Amino acid sequence: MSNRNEQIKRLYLQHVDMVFRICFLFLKNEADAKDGVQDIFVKLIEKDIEFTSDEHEKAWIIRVSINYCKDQLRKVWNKRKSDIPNLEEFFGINNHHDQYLLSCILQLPTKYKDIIYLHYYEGYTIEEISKIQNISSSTLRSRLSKAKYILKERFEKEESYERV
Amino acid sequence: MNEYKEAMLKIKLSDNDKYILFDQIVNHKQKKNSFKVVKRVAFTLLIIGCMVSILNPNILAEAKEAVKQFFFGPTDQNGEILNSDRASYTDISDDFPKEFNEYATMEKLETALHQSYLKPKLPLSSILYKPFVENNIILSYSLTFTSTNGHKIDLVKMFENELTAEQIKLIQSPDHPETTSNINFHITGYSNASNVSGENINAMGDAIRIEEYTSSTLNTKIIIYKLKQMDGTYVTYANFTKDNLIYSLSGYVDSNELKQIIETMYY
Repeated sequence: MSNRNEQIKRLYLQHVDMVFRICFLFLKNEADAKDGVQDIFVKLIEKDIEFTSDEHEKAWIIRVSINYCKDQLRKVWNKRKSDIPNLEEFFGINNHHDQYLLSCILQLPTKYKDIIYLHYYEGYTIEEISKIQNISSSTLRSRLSKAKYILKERFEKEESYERV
Repeated sequence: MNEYKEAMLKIKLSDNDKYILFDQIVNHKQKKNSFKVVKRVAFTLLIIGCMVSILNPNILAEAKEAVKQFFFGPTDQNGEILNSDRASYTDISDDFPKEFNEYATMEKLETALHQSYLKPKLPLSSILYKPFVENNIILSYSLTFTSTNGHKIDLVKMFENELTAEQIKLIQSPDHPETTSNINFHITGYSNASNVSGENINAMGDAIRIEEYTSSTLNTKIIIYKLKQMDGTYVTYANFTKDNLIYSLSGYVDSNELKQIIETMYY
């Protein structure tokens, strides 16, 4: 296998789960998320970008993935899809609490999903996300607090429902 | 938020899916590369084809003929289509006769017909232009077009005072074959190169002669006749010549209507 192919394979294995997670979070469908993974990595291979560091590489892939998903969601066909996927069927998640947590995040409006994912899962700071997404820090802060508020409300609703 | 992290970790591809997807990505890249090569070769061939056709116009004519044969079936020596089952065909030649030189599209041809022959703006359902070429010279051409329904209504209006209520009803009834209000125009023109003059041609075919009149507009003798069709209905024909052009008009109309059309056409 040539060096280039080795490099592609390394890139793929290193980032495929993250790309899939981002795609699934936005597109809410396993098949669409897989298509997304394919398209994003094909784009990555075609562009043949020289990354300055691993962080640069990761940030580029995150940005391309989020932009790809938003483009897909703008398409009329995808606007009609709004159901929450069956998480147990796709990923074997049978724990009710995990299912509820994930479905709350999947139901968040698109603009709040990326900040929640990048901040709480990937561990990026607001300033880092600001650079990746080219959005001002203050906008991101207000989006983060709004997203947290929505999630908190939903969790409380679920807890009161469970108590009853 | 640790719970969230743990839950998110569960969203992942199986190892099997990962390898299938990787294969698809690599194959997509290879397919794309071969497609690029095909595109480059096709583009190069196109450029070479254009250059050759510019340098040698005969090759362009042969290519046109090949395309025509491919789409419309075999043609004879004059480029006439022998088997027209494959598609209806309207031949608009590059070498239009002088009155249609400017008109290359069907839309413009329609405009030209209105300007050249038809006084009222009647709807046209089909136009067939056929030049007869020999040694790259147009000897003659035939122009056939059909004007549709609106015409009949206009005619009824024109003759409202002269037709009986029964006749009007007959004309307007959509079920009766005689009410097919299409008027077929067939015009044949001869170029100087053909050494044939329209004035010398007997425009009347093998027909039952019913009427002969002299048009005040054309100042020429016009013969109007009826022919019985296979289905028992009668079609009225008018044949006449004017300025080296042979006109043949036909339709399910009576002779008065046909006369009216002849008198109102542009020449």
